Amino acid sequence: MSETRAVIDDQRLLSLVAAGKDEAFHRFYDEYANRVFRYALTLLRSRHLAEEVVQETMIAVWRSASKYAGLSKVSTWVFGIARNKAFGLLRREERGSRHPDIRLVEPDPADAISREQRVLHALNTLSQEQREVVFLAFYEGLAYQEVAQLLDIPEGTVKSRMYHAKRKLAEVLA
Amino acid sequence: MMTCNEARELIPWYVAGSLSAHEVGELAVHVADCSDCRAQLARDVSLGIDLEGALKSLPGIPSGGFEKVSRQIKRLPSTGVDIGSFLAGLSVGLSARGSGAPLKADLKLLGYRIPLLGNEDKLGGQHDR
Ligand SMILES: [Zn+2]
Repeated sequence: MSETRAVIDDQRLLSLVAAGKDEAFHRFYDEYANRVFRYALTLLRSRHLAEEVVQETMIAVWRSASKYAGLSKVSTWVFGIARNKAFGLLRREERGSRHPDIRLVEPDPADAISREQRVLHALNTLSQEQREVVFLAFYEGLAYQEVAQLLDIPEGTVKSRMYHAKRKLAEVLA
Repeated sequence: MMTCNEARELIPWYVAGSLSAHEVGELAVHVADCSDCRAQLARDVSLGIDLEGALKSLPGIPSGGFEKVSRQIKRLPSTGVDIGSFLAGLSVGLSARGSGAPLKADLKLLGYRIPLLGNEDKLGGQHDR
């Protein structure tokens, strides 16, 4: 599917969700639940909290689909909601007694550690801000301008976060 | 002409496949003439492939999430969710977004042939590790 086609499909789907179509909402969930889950997992490093972020984000999408103004891609809009939910949950967690998991992934019980796990471990050494930019660029394929819009920070800051994240990763993986 | 610092900042976004055609053009002109940035590009391509593979290996959301959401919004029936189509939808959604490494094709399109320090086969290869 081409990028443009995907953008138009997303907007059509969201307009159907706004009209209260259950089936469209189910399709929307199928398209976004895993992406939001992994984004939240990258930010919060807790599967439990990431699941909560997906729940809250989807409920917010159902309730406010009609407020989507088309100023950004639907994906950027959804990730903006997810981001707010994630940081909201994090604040609530910090006030409470529950501790988030420390790792992005559980250690492999086998001796052989896969390349993916080594890289995930390296990602784990980055700051939350750096992990987020790396995820949005390399998993979601967002341009630095889109990341800047989503995070509400200057484009130069996005590029510099990526630059330093990449240097750290190269160091850890060397 | 783009500086090395500017090029270094753009290279990861190029590898991720999200630079505009205009920026790709400027970057290609710089990289064609600068062996240091060319070497950096090769390293970033390799890192980009690793990152994509690792992020795709992150755990997925446990099943049953849609039913929970449905119950909460009290609009959808809380039973009768077809798990088969639920899973099919997830995999279609994921496969539609793989970006791969756009590097070779883009640079060739612009009429440059950028040597990638022995990463040629890695570039076209799959995540088969
Ligand atoms: Zn240079």
